[in-house]
Amino acid sequence: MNEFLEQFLIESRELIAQATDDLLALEHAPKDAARLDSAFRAFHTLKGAAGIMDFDAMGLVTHATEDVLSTLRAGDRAVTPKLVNNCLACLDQITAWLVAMEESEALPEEADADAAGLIARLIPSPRPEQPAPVPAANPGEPTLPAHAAAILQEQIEVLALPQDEGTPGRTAAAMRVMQNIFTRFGLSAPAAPTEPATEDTARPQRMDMARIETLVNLAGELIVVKNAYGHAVSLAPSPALTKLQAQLDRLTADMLRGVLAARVLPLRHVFQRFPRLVREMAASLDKPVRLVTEGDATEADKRIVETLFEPLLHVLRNAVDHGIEPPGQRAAAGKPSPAIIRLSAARQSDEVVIEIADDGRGIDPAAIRATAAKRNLATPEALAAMPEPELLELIFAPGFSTAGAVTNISGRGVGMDAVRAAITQLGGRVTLHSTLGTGTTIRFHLPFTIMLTRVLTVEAGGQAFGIPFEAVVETQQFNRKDIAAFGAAEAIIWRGKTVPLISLAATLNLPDTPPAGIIHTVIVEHGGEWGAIRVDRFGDQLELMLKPLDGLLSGMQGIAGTALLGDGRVLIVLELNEVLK
Amino acid sequence: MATKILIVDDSKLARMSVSKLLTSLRPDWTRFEAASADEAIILTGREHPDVILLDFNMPGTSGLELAAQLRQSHPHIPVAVISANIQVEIVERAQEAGATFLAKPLTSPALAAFLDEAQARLSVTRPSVR
Repeated sequence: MNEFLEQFLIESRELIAQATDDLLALEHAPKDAARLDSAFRAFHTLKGAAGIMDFDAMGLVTHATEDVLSTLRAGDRAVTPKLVNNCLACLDQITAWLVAMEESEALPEEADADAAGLIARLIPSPRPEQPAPVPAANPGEPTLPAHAAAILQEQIEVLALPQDEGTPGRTAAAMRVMQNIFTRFGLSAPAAPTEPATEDTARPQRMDMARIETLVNLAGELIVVKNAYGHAVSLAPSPALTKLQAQLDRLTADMLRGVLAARVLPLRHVFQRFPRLVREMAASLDKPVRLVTEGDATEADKRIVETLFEPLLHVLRNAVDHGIEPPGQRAAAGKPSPAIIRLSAARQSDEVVIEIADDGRGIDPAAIRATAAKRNLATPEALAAMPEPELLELIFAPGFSTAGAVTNISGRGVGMDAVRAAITQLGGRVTLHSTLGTGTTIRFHLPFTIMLTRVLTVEAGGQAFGIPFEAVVETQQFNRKDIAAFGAAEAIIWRGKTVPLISLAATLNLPDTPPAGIIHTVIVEHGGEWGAIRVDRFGDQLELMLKPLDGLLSGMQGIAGTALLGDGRVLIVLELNEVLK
Repeated sequence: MATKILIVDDSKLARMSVSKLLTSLRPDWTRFEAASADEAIILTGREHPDVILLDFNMPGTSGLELAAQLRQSHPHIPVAVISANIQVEIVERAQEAGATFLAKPLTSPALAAFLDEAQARLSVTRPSVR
């Protein structure tokens, strides 16, 4: 790609993000002169960028927006939701153009027509000069001018094009143009695709990332060599080699830590997409909601930041749709309007904690009991006896939220189980707290960096496995007689606690020979579940670059990933969620 | 000694675009770039540019304010303020600050005219510059 176009895309996306942020802030604080200046400057710089690229349509749209903002500056006009909507629509259109330009590496076609529609909305002329409207199909239906109908027809043709890699971008752009036309001519629009609207503004905006990624991969390979070296040294140990190995260990660990620390992005990259989306969701449900974001400068591993969009969107959707009460109910309960959803992030030692807290109705345990019973997640007796924290956990059970009240906002058949799975995949965990009548808080606890996983290696059924070290409480040997039987299950008493005894080999369908005398177990705790995992032998502690599963192993239950060992063997790292089930 | 020119704009794209024009108009000049007024002041003190091109619209100190400051500290340096807003008021304020107004997007003839004029001015104070 031409370096000018590349820089144009980077800068425009940053400016769009800035302008979006400013516009949304202005909607809540219309007199904020600093925000207004910042929004003005963003549109002005966008205009400048358009000029450099000879992109007239974008120049005209940004110029018109700038005009509107300068009337605000002069105090001739007030900030209204409609005005903000119109400015945001311009940003959406520019975003769509950027997508098209990135694909075609040329100025988008049809941009002039799109621009004309937007400008007409921004600067309403007192006597709109429009061609005669086409006769309405049904009397009483709003009519559509011929040129608008023609534009609609074009979008329908765009949507009918064969699927290829350009389809998502084209579809998003066409949907937006159609949406604009519907809104402009007062027709009810089809359900808006909420997610893609600002998707492209949040792409990683630093080209340096590619270089950092190369370094991370090289560091990963170096770790493999280091482990192989360690293995070679153990076969023919000598004091000199051992000393060198210790140095190598330290240096590679330091280097990897340094490189991973560089591969971070501020959470702003994902957070900045939500004020807009929450605003749209709230508007479509007629619920006044305000999203407050805090700590968006908190940094986390790039992969984490880039993966968080879907899980966060899901939780925010739930909050707006199920958490926040309808306005009447809120007023009756004496709760303030707008409702507040707080999206915050903070670094807490080695973790990044992301919190989504709403001040809505909270989760009703009775409603969970009813749903869980309907979905056969547990027997009515078990549900009746279940303590509240455990009951709330059922929200994360697969199948819990696939049905129920289906709305455009949250009825997508993706449950909180998918959220938990996504966060667990990143090496994190999800917790939930809810107080009836006061609100719900969901927290994602995420590691600051990923990929480097410390494992304890064990052998079971003749194979080597890795147990994530953070889950290991201790390794413990028991006598056969310490085992207590509970029906078909077995447990051991460990520090006064009854812990289920799990045979790793049996769990993974490998040949299992229970020993007659001493048994070796790894006591683990993961997500509140305890287990004593019986293995044949304990191995070493290793630091590994975990590879996600692909090929034959993908989709296999109970496995988090694989890593290459020093002796060339592939170590399978266990997913304890599944093992402890 | 090569003539030095400082380009001040918070947009890298804009700096790239000005640089490209300069490469064709004055390939032998040494270019420096600053992304803010603060950076511009530091670079001016360190590199002693002969000519300065300023963007009007920058966060913090605007191009006009910076032009006025530079006129105080370095009255002999020819300065141009580049703006996409071609308003009489801005043009006048640029002239008051002793700067040349140039419209954005910058065109090759407009920049060439300013550079010619700047060089003419420099030849008075620094005869070595052609």
